[in-house]
Amino acid sequence: MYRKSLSEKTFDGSIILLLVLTSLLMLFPFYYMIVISFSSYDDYMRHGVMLWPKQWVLDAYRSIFESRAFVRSIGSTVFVTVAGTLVDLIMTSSMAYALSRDIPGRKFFNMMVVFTFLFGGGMIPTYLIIKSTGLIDTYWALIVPGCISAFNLIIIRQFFRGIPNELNDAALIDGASEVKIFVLIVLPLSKPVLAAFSLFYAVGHWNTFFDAILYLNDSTKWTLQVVLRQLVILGNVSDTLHQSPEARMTQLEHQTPPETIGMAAVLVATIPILLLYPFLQKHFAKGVMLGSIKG
Amino acid sequence: MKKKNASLLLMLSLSLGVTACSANKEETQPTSSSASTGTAPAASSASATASPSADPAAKKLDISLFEGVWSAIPDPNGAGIQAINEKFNVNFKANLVPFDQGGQKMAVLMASGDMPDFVGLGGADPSYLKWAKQGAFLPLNDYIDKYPVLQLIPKTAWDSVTVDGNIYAIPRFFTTKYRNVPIIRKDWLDKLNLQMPTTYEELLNVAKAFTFNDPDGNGKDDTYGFVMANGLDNEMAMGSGFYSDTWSMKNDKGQYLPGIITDASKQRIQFLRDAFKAGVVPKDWPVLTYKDNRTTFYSGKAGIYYDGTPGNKGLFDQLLKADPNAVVETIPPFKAPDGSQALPGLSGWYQMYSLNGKLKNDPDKVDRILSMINYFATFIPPEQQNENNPDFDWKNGGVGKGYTMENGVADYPEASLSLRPKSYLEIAEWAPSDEALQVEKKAINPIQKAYAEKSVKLWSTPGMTYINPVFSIHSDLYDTKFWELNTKLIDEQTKMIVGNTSMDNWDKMVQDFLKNGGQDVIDEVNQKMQEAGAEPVYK
Repeated sequence: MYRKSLSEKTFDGSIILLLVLTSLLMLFPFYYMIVISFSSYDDYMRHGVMLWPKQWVLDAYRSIFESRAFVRSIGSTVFVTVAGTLVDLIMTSSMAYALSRDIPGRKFFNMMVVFTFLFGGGMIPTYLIIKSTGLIDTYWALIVPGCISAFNLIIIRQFFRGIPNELNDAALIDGASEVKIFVLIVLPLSKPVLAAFSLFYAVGHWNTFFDAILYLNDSTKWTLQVVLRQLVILGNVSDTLHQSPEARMTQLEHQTPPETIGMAAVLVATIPILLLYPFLQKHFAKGVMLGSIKG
Repeated sequence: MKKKNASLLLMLSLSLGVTACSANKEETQPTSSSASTGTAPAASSASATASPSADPAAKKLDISLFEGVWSAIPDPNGAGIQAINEKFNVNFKANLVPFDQGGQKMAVLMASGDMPDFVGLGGADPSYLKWAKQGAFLPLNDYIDKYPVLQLIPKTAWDSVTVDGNIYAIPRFFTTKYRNVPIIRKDWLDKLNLQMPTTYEELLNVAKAFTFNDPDGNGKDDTYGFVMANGLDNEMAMGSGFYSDTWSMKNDKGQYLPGIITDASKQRIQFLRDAFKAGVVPKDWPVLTYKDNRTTFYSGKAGIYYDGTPGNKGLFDQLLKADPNAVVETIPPFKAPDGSQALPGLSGWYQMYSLNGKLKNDPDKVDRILSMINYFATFIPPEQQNENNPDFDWKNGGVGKGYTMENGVADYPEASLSLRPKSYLEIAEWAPSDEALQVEKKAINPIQKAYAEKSVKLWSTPGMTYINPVFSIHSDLYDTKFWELNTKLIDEQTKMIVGNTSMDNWDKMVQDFLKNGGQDVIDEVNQKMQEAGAEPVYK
């Protein structure tokens, strides 16, 4: 049996130590948020950094869940995330499949996709399109415009191309249509890549912020991030921009909710999407790798 | 199949985009041409024909507003907005967004021809001037005489929003006095037997004593002389002459200079450098924000901070909890190298409303909007701000519902935000003077009350308030270029304070500023000041 020498052992040990320290460094902010969110504001003011709450209180959580705007925004975000991810996956995978097949004009459409990769329409033209298609003030404004990401489309297309053609041919001989092949053969074979991209899309929708402000005039429809920002950042002076003294004074006058509430809100807004990662992680690495290597 | 649909969709969206653009052009074109030729007579004749009509308020009107607001956003269907709808016989749609996103959305709305009936703007900034020149807004010259509150607005404020002779916005009240200036823990001074500082040397000694001599008497070395934040926004500017954005010192050509490059600022930066070296400020100040700092000050851990009058009740409550014996006072201004000894004043207005240029043929709507603004901006004297004044009671959603009364002072809980009509049209009432606000009377917290009383007295001293001459001018270079250069100056000054570069670099820094466009800014600002007859004034 091979036995490690002393120097190898110390080398391994020091690497483990380094990794543990690094991960602690990354976990600490989270841990700190949890501690502060369960502390009373008085304790926070008096002690600042704490490693353990002096007294466990649920005040912060109670106050955010009593806020109708916050609870309502969770609903909006969940809807946009679930519906949006579904629409995104259907649209992206079906287009990717079409483009992975030998169809006439494939090159042209591929070029069009790459074009949107390089050039965007800009905020105002996009707004005009959304306005004239009647999507203003509907959740579709947050879902439809970004439902096909050029980057994701290309990777999924490459993945589909990697599926052996023989499978297709066999299915064709058995009398399957293209739709049937896509739904019954290609999609089940592509679970890892679909899982990976549903995660990408879901995180994107979960973080919807400026689009909600821009396209939704009705503030009851706003997403979690908009409401969250009001709880955490309102009253923080941005020092990079020039502000008139009047603006600065007005801003300082409006008191931010206590930090304990901010921390609790951040946790509530982060944990659901964080929980997706462990479930999708095993597909995640595989999916991304398969798509890129086999291309 | 898929391909066909995709290309169809693409064509559809492209064509929609094109039609939207062209429709937009058609809409804006006539407005801009009519605005430049003769909107004023047209508008006045329109209002003249409308006024005799039986009862213009009888018709229910749809009125829309867009604004970025500092406060929390009320529920769009709250009881407050229903009260407005009933009172003014309107269907009011207030589209409010957080302030820092407001500017961007406004730009999109304006560019896409989607401007609502009226909008709230931050000030007469370059985008306002651009939109006004393009005819997006309604000239208000002929309307404002009819509304009593608008008569209270001083000429300087109207001048600031006037473009080519047309008034395109209604300025909202802000105090001229009570700007945030350095404040000090007087009880710490007394405890350590120190005098109120009158020079930067004395100030440094005070700051050292606050740091090292245990002013709070808890036996721990846990206090700072003062707190400062990144961005160096006028840190420790002990009087208007030391501020970086005031124009009061002249160069040898007789031109006024921006404070940030004068010897007064050099004195201030030298002081900050010495203070940093002495360890009387938090070492990590270049990454601290104002929010961090006020937490430090109001939890009793720092001796000097800067704040407005009367300050924030919540913060003073924190201080009361941390140290019931705290006494806070405004530091009287030091004598500046230019001979002045004053506190920096404000412009007297902040934020404004502009009406959509398309309303020129709809005098009823214009009247309704201006009546609403007039009503909300009508001043209610402090002694009447209680449930017995029907207007006050209505604006705030009714006692016990929208607000509560406590020892004769109204309190506005966050939870009843949507019950207060005021949340939807948050206009500061136009006070006849700063003193009429009686800010000190509204304070309940004893520390805050004592602070506000003293501070108001100091601000009321004749000649104490410096009025910046740039308030009365519009200079494109100053609005844009200056603030770019200013960022560089702040970077340089930050390096000097933390000791990365020596103070000998000061002259080079000023020369670079002048060479890179600073001189052009100074030339333009001085020229505009001369044209407008603007000079620094001490009120």
